[in-house]
Amino acid sequence: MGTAQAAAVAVGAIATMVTVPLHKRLIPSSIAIDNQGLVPHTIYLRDDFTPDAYDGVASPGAQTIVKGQWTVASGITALLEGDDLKGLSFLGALKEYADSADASCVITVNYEFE
Amino acid sequence: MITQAPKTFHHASVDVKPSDLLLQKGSWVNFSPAWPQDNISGWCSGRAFEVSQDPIVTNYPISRIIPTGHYALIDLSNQVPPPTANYSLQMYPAQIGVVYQISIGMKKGDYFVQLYIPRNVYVYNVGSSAIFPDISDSTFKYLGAKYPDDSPDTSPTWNLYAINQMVAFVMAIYVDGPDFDKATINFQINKCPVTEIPQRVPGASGGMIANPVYTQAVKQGTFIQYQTEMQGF
Repeated sequence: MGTAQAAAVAVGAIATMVTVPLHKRLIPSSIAIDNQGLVPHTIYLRDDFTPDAYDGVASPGAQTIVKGQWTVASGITALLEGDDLKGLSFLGALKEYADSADASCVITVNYEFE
Repeated sequence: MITQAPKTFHHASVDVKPSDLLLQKGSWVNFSPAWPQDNISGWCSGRAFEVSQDPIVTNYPISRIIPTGHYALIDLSNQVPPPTANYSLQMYPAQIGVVYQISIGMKKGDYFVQLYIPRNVYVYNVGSSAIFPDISDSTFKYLGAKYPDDSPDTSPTWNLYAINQMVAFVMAIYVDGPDFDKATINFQINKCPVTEIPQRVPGASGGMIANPVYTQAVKQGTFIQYQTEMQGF
């Protein structure tokens, strides 16, 4: 199992938490958002990848798909696990950003590759 | 040309031998006489062979990220070499006298596979010509489809057999889930050099007699059909 951690960044400075190997997908086993900042934050987890050629599309464009967003109040640690994360997977790169940058708001993702 | 063990084989008993799963040194293969007598399959058509070396298995994983409701085609043959875009995957032997047993192990995911040989000729149809697999049809794309459960990555049960310059096996990988999915298929290529088993051998009296090993190989060896024998019934 792997662990990736990053502080909340603004959308313009989106942070790569994990790059997924070519023949695997990333399955989060838990996500903790520890917001010790002074204001609430909305955190976004995004999956960035480029599809392969498929019927009728020889060179598909890159995809940036938000797979989850959570708003966490100041002073709260939100923990997502089990059924909260059912069906969630990342195909290319797991990235994170927030409504505003805050070094006191930390996102921790525990994950496995399948 | 293709063999597949049933799903229950995932729970195989202790009676299963390695040769039940992969061709081994000493395993027999025999080719249908329907293979054409030409410069591609003339060397093997209607003949029986023994695998002459221990298996050398090469893992060859491929992945395709595809949006739901769409498919990607992959060509397993050697016809279009890289670096050409959309090159074929070069899974065939590069010389005669060699058979590649290609096991297909599919990782879990929201996708299925349709198989063609050659391109645009579906393998898994039914006898009626009124109904056939059609990857672009909302109903009949499922006919004959193979799912990851049918031949999982951890215990593949679906095998293809290829010889040098044979027509292309083509797979359509169709994603049928809520969103994009990554279909990962691990091909295991069991590279088998083969030696022909003669039909007749010299007898004690100096004349030629039927070779009992040949007879046994034809009865018990892996039978490799020609593509036309898998259609029309």
